[in-house]
Amino acid sequence: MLGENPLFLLTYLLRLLRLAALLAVWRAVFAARGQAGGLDVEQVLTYTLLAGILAEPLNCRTGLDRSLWEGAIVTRMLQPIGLVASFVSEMAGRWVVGFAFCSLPMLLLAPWLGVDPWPASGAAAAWFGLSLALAVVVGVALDFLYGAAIAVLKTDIWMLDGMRSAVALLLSGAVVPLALMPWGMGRWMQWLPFGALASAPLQIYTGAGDAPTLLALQAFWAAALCLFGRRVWRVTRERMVSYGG
Amino acid sequence: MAARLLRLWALYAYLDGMWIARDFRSFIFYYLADAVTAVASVAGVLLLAQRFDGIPPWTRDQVLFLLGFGMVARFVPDMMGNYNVLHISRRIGRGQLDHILVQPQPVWMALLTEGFAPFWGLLSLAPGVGLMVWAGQRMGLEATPSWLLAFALNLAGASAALMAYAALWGFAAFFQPRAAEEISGSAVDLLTDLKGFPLDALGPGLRTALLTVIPAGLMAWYPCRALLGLDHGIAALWVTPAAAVALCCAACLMFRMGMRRYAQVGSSRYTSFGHRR
Repeated sequence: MLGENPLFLLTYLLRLLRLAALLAVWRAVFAARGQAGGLDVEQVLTYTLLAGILAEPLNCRTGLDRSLWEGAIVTRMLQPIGLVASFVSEMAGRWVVGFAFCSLPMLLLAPWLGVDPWPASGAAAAWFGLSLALAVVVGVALDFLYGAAIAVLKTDIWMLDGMRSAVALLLSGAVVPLALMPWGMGRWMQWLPFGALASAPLQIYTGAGDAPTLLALQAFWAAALCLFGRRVWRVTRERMVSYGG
Repeated sequence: MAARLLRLWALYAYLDGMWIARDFRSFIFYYLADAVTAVASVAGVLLLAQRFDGIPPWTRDQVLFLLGFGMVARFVPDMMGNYNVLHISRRIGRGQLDHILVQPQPVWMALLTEGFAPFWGLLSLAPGVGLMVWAGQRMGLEATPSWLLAFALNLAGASAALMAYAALWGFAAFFQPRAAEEISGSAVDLLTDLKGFPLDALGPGLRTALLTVIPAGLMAWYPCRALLGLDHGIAALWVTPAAAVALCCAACLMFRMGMRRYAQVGSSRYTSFGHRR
């Protein structure tokens, strides 16, 4: 990846710029008020920073869709390793690169950006680890369900991918904390599986949410989606069609 | 020449219409997906503006106008740049420029017409226009002829800036066909992902960078400041169109340099077996 194509650096630059723009927006919004939705400006800034740092784990993309599109799924299925394990291990490898070239610089830049990167408490940090792991499980399960949808719909994955990215980013609370959504939308959105992806771990880290409740909800979604995803995938894998390279 | 351009646009519009309407399922799916993507991509800022009654110094209605402007400014390059014309680095990087060079028409004419797909993404235009009209009415915006002219110029400038910026980077594929194959997409993302943010609160250094090196501020923020009177002075109205002209000139220069190199080395992207390197 590094030697072949340096373009990933532009993607990381974009992530940094987006983070800077979001932090500036939050500062402008909170300049005239102390708190909103039970959050103060420091919590929101930490929330936003962490969402930027953990953008990849909070929005899991195994690459299953591309694999279906290119037909590479066929060779994957011939390998002596489970399909989920194969995709997850490859995804984790990509995260290492992203962490080294983007997340780590973001973390180091935190003081310069005027953001406190530390968790609300030691307990929050411990719960956060568990919550992040559950978020990844939910993310992978959703990605396989998405893969099953591609296999069934047999349609252009790029269009579907754009829609999925935009909607998931919004509903997961990765850009705007759910507590700050207008018309009390956040109260309803936190019950959706997308809320288990980003909102739950970020709330726990910043001390903005009740950790046991959020973890229980994440555990429910992780179990439900894994079971459902497994069943759906088993049925739809027989309907897969390769689209070619 | 103008008549031929119109004929080609009509032809590509017909082909696009046929492709979109080839079956009802595809028709509904594409339009629905496009509308949802367009709205969801700006919904974060939109919801924030609603929740906090604006993002200082922008009022809620001004933010809505900005979001609508950004969506419409993005629609034009999408409409003109389908089939990897906007992502020109893919065509160059994959050696597909030859497909254009063998046609009995100038390269510029092919690039200006081949990607024309007016029906594709039409539903992403509607929310943008709706937001602008609604916000404009709520603000009591007076659409005088001179304001409309300034609006059209700035909208065209924002769209042209995006296309020229994508091309400017995309022509790097003449020199590095493999490494730069996807560079136009990254350039487009750099500009469009930040189009919905009011950038006032950023530091002066970053703000300047977002108007020059990565001109994301030209996509909506700066032109809307000028059009909505947040930036006083008539000169502000000319910044976006002037920047677009400068970017177009730079892109033309880069294209000439690239073509000179292409004439010497051609495309080395494929092996003699037909596989990509």
